Amino acid sequence: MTAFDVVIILGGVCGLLMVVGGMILLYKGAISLNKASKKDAVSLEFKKMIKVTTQYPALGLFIIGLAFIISAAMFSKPTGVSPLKIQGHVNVPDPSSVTIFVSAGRWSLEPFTDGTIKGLIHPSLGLLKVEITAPGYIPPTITKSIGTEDIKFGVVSLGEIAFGNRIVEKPLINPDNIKTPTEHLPPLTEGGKF
Amino acid sequence: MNKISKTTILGFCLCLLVLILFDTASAQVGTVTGVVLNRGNVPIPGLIVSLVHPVAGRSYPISTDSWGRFFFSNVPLRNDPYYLEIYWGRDLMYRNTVIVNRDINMGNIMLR
Repeated sequence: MTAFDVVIILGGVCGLLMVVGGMILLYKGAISLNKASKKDAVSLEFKKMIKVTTQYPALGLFIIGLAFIISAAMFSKPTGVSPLKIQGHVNVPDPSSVTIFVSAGRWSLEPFTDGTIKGLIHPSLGLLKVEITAPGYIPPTITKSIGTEDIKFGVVSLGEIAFGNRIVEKPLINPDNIKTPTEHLPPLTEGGKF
Repeated sequence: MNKISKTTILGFCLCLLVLILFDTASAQVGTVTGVVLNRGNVPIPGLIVSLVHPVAGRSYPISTDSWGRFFFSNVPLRNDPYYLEIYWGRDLMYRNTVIVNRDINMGNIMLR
């Protein structure tokens, strides 16, 4: 949990306390929603830009509390990364055999002289690597780097991807080569643990 | 009382030592290499190779190079077997067990 998370939680809790506390004080009669006289009106001013005056001071508790809750909710909203559409065309007779992996860029860190690793990175989609692999072809993998300048309105065009000559045809699937697992194995799509 | 305290401290130290040793062992990694050939002994490039373990999960998939070679680094060492899987695109062509308790060279793997 980061310091930011703590601030967000505290902001939310403060807001809730102010709202619930205000309601309790209203119930007990410590404060009232009666209209105050003009000279007792509460006035809030921010840098001579915004000025709010109310003759219902009790409402201030609710408004300030709600402001805490709303701001905490707004700041804690996850900053979603915009989806990216990748399109292109692969020019091989059997496109279903082609595998495409997209990975984010690499960030380098250098350890200190005593071996300590300490660094700050800003993960972003600034640099993506697209690896297109076609079995049996040489070279088998075509790698394309995508920078921010290649992204146009959320779309990346890989263009026409052509491989060289196929030197090996697909072997027949031999069931003797495939050992049946004794336990459940995660699917191929769940790669990336090590 | 003093004896009990000493025994407790000794036991605590032993537990700590076991934990440290276990942690060191679990952090050890190895490599797995091999070459994939067809029945004519021709290397097959562009196959997707993956190591998978029921508990440790699946490795980042890699592809065989122009000489049919594959290389996994940073494979956590274990005494129970991994499954080595080889795919032609999405079609599973090969699956066999391999125990990675040190650096392993699987040699030539024939798809026939």
